[in-house]
Amino acid sequence: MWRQRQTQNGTDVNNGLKLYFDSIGNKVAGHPVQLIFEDDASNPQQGLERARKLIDQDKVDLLMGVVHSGVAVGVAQYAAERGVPCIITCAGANALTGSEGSPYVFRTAETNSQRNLVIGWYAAAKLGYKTAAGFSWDFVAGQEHIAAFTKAFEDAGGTVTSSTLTPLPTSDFGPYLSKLDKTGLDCIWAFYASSDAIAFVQQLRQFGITPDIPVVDQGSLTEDEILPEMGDAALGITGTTCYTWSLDNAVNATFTKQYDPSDKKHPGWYVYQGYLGAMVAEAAIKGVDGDLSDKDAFLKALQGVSIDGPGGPFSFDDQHQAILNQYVVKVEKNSSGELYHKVIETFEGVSQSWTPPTS
Amino acid sequence: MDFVLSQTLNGLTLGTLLFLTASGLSVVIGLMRILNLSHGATFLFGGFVGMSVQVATGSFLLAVVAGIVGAAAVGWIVQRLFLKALMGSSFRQVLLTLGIAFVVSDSILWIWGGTPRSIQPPAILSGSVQIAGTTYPTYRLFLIALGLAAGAALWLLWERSLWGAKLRACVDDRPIAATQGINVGAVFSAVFVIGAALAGMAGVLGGVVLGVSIGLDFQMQLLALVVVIIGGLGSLKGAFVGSMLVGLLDSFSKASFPTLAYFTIFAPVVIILILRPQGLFGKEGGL
Repeated sequence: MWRQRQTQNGTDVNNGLKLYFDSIGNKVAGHPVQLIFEDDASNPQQGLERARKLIDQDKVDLLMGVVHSGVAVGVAQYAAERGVPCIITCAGANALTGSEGSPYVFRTAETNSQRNLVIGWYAAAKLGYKTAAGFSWDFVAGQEHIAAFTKAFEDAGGTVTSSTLTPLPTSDFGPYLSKLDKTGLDCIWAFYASSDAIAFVQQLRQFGITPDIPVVDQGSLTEDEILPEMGDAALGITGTTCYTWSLDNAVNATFTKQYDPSDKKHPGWYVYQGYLGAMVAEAAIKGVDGDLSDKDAFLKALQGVSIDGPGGPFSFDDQHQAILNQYVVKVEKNSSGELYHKVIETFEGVSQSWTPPTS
Repeated sequence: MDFVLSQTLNGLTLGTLLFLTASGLSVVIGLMRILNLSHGATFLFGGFVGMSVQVATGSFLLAVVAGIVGAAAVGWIVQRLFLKALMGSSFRQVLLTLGIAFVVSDSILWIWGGTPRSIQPPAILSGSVQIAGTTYPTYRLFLIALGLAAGAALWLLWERSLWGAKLRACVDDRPIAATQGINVGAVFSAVFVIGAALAGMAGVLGGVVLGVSIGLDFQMQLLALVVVIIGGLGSLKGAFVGSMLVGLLDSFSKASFPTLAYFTIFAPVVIILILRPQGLFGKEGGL
């Protein structure tokens, strides 16, 4: 079931990767770049088998991608065993780049916890919410998300009054929403993605919970790819994200133009992650002048990558985890009636150990 | 009180969608001993067709009609071109329907892409109403009313029409029915197409509540199977009672023990299979 639900996300990442490498003529430092795509089907076993094929048979110099955390853990472990550098572009499992991370594994996306640092603090400290009800999927990533939000929100003085973990997938939120105690509730925080996110946001409105009670999230609930489907029910949701297509910077202007020259279709978070991953890989390959035979030098070059991506400045911390801007965004309608994320505030250089400003 | 009322309504909403989906499935099993595993895919196909029509025309009613027609067409093709060729060989037919489920599912991915979509309720039903102090979506109440109406209509067709009598005769004893001059093949074709049409209708109506996305096909197929097992094979009454029971169980258990959601659906299945293997309204030794 889940395999197919994520199909679009994986395709988007691949498209982002291709988009960037095509834009530089598939050449880095004078060396041709060859991309080999494999489908892990969001299945850890198949992911491992494909990683084996790529490493042992195709002899790739660099592994990239992976949306599903379960697949990513297996792939990263195998890459580390075989000493092949690996850039995880999407999967958020905290363990991939923590104190137990591998010298070969880098991640260009936020960790599940990192994604909630800013919004948890912001909701309590800046928006002044005292209480929150949390909703999340009942699996490892969902638990990491809700735990991180709860900690950040409570550290800033808020209280999470109820946490609801729902099965993966959940399409009908009726039972949970009817039960929600709205008295004294300041906001709702939720982690859902894809079709479940659409259902959640629309059902909040149908059950008369929004717009009375505001919703905050960490980017995936109103991700740009699915936002248009939500309609007016999504208006006013405040979240944080490391990228949205309306960001005003030169790299993003190039990126969105490449994605769709007519500017009608907009890239979502997954396309962005593919594109960013490709930029990071390019920078690292350039750092060793296209010579990937010396692994240590290449890893050092990767560690030293510091670039401006479509989401702003990007670099790695010493645990190979992305440091990037977090934008506080609010869903609004633009002049052409399109739903988009309006940037309210920018937090620069948010790492996995980010702490709130003290003022 | 609020809790009981709102969770009952939630249960009946899901129950309605399940009934529309499972009734065709159950009767086809009872009639031809074919477990149609492509039923969920037909449901989703109807949903996607309806979604496209709504995007193009803005009309919810046209979307429902298109969903029904689209799903009925799939049902007709499956039955005419494929199942007929394997008449009398149930196992092969079941395997074939599984293959068809994958083909339909991948075709949906090919035509509409993997991005999840949703269907908007008509403006008049898009708000919510206050019942006994709880806010409840109007559309869901409409859905429940529609489910009861559909149940009544199917019951009339099943119990009170000549065609229904023929259908029941075929379910009870196919060879004897055939010797009485009933064209079993024609009855089967009609039931299969009607079942598919109902599933397509559920796909569009359910699209408002559940969305339309890849993955929903297998989810609904699974729940419909649970309904059929609980209700009893080939029983319309069983499909109705089973659907509402599963809907209510799902709703109350999710609200009370969210983390046990799947357990509370399947535990009753196990208990019923032990105590009453033929299901609540199935015939003993029926299958």
